[in-house]
Amino acid sequence: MCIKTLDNVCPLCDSIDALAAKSMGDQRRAACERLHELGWPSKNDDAFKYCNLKEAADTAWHLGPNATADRGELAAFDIKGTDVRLIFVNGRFDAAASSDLPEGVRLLSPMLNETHLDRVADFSDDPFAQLSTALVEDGVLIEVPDGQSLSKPLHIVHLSSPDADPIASTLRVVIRLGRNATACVLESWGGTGPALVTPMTEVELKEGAKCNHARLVEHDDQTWHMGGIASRQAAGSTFESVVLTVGGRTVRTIAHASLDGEGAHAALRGFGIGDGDRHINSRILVAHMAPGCTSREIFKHLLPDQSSAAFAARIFVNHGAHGTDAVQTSRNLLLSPDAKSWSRPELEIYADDVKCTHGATTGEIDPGALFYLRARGVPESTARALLAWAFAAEVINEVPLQSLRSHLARRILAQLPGAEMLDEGIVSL
Amino acid sequence: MPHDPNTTLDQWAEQSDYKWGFVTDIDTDTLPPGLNEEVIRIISARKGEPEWMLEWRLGAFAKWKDMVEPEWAHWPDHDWRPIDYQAISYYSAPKRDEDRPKSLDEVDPILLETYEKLGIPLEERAALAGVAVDAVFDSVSVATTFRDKLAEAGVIFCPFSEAVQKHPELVKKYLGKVVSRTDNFFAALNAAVFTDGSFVYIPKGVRCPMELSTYFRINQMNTGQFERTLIVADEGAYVSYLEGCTAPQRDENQLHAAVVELVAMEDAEIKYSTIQNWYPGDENGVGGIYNFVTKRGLCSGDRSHISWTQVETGSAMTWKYPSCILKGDDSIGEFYSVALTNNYQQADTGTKMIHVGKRTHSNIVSKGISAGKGHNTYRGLVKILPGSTDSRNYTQCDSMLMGDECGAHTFPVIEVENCTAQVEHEASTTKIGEDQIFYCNQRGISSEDAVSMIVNGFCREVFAELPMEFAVEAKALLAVSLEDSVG
Repeated sequence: MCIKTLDNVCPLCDSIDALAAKSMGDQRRAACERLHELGWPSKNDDAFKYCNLKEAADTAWHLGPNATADRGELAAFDIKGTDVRLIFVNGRFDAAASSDLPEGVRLLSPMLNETHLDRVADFSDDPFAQLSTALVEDGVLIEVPDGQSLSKPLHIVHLSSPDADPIASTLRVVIRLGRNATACVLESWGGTGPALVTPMTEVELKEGAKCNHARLVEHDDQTWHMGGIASRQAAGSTFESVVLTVGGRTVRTIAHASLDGEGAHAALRGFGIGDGDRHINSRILVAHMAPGCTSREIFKHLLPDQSSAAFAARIFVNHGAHGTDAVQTSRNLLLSPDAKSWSRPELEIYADDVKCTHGATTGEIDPGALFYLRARGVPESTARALLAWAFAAEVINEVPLQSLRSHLARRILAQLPGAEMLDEGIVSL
Repeated sequence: MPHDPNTTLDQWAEQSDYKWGFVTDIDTDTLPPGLNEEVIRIISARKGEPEWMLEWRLGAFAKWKDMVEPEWAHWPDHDWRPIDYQAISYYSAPKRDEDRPKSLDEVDPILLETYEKLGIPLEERAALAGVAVDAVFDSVSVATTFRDKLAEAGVIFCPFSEAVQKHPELVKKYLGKVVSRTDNFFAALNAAVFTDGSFVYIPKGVRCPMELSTYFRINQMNTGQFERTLIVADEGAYVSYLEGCTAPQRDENQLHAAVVELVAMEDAEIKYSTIQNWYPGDENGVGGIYNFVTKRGLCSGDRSHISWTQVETGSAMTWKYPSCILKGDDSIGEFYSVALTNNYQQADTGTKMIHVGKRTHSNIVSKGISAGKGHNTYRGLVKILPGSTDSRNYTQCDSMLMGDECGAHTFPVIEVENCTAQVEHEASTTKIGEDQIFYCNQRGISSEDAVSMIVNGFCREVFAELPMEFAVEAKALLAVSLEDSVG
């Protein structure tokens, strides 16, 4: 099947053939072909300019073995208030560890042929989105009929669990909400050992629907997380999504939000904390296709050690999309001399009656604020941690569920240098 | 006079005819179209250049042949007409060197008339304006004023070809140091075929006694203009250089690929101002200049300062990114820009600020105005290298849209590799305020004047950076673009 050999991906091709024999035959083959056409991204590829994928390129990836979740390991992903929890290991459902499926929520595996994946956004130029389609074995389909809502937040947990070989796995989450329907969906991504995960979430909202989505990335430092989020919104609908990165080696998210109906609102947020040489990469497109839509993007990164963050986002305003109100913000706090940040906040505007602003800042901790705290007896390291937390809080405070905010606070404080004297109670500050 | 603000907006797009589109009819010495080594040898021979200069050109040409024409630019709605490099004539001189006039009296009266129309302050007007003019007519300089006064101060201000003859050591030392001959496709082309331009050298500690100015004109059908400007300000020197241009109306696209290099040594300051008003094409997007320019300044010494100011109202297409390499500690780079596009014009402009030295500062203010089917793009890079501690950048890009068929785009790149850096970027896009026009109308100000006032107010921060004569011209230029747009 390979047109062009990709040494690191080709070990997967037999598995893709086997999967294609079972479901989504043409779609998988097309995705695999496209992946080989595109090739493994290099630094010369503008979309991956800042992403160091060399090590992942030198790794031969295999399909993960069947495995079950370790109960002890799972406890770390507990988020109070999310009673419904669906567990996936290496892209496959772990029924024993999961709750019963609530109404409106189904597993994708038996219906991959009917579900029609990849109909929300065109990610045909992204090799990892292609890999995700070629490898998808299971996932969650959330369909809420008109006027109804998913009773409780749904928590989806995916763990990667390699054995001898480094593994590639993926999971698809499809959210389709009817008119005025609502849903809140959380995804946790974790696991240990060398892994390449390619999560893809597709969201389709009818008129007036509301969807709240959060993706929490908590892998260890051997995981390449190359994810995507695609959304398409009808008039008056609201989509709020946040990607929270507290783990992983390289964490990349491509998001494409299309505001197709008048008065739709999208809020895309991101927060990431670096650790070691972690790289956090966000590539966002918000397309205002209809008049009167609003969008908010805010991405913040705390960068200690040799960590780095790259943010490339574009607001696209179509001809005739009058009354557009779009704001795009990228802020990076460099906490170490070796940290790096790159920002590309872009605007592409074809309508005149619009309000579009973007702002990007990069800097270190404000010495004035630091002095203020130290003058009041706060030790320097604690003061730095406190200010770094305050920087993060703008995004964290928008995260749905108090329990998730506390969970995040624990994770962030554990990684933040000098935060020993702070605890999760800081969330309520 | 109707005072309906909507009329203003609708009609704003209908720019009046290009007012300065006249053609001077004089004998010229023009090479037939085509580009090969022989053409470069002829150009070099005509200029009486030394061997090293020819070698330099040929080296650039050899590299250029292997280079690929860039195609990354963002050209919505534009019918890109490929440039046929073999259809361009690469050399055109009003007269051969040996026939060049010795004084103004010998200058062709038609030529002087052209300058008159352009408003070049030669003769007494020049003295009053305090401006020395090195007028470039097509490719060869024909008249230079105030040479003596500048010479007194030790300032060298002469055509590039003359500098190659008279100051080869300086040219050799600095040529291609900031924009190498193989820097990019158009810079390499320029290096191979450039015919003339200006050379400025300000010696140590000298404050140039007057503002220097050059007018460039394209006046030959199918003659690409390949100017090369090199300005060197030695330790503690100061110079303000003005460059302005208008071009006759032509139906075919002409290429303008200039290169400007600035070098500022310790404590030196260079202020470079441009008004660009090449022929933009007609209201159907036919004709117009392709203006693909490489401009770059090197703040080589500590505490050096380079400031770029530009007002871009012409050209069918502009790709222009006046940049600063802030190598010296405490050096400063500035970029102020107003770009106005109308009809089918497309301007892709911005700057690169490369922070290398410690405590370097850069400031970017870019104002884009789009009307008709015009598209305005800010494309910029701010890069803070790891060794550049305590550096600072502030960037502000504002776009104003007039009409719903135009576009305004912002593509900044910010790369920070030092944690002590403070980098800020802000951008906004807005429509010209109908309420503001209405407010003016109510007070008896015509819609046309109101639009002009609002646009001038929008651009004020940039105009403030221009030398006074230029600020007046810039305002006049915008006013001309706005003239007759209200019925």
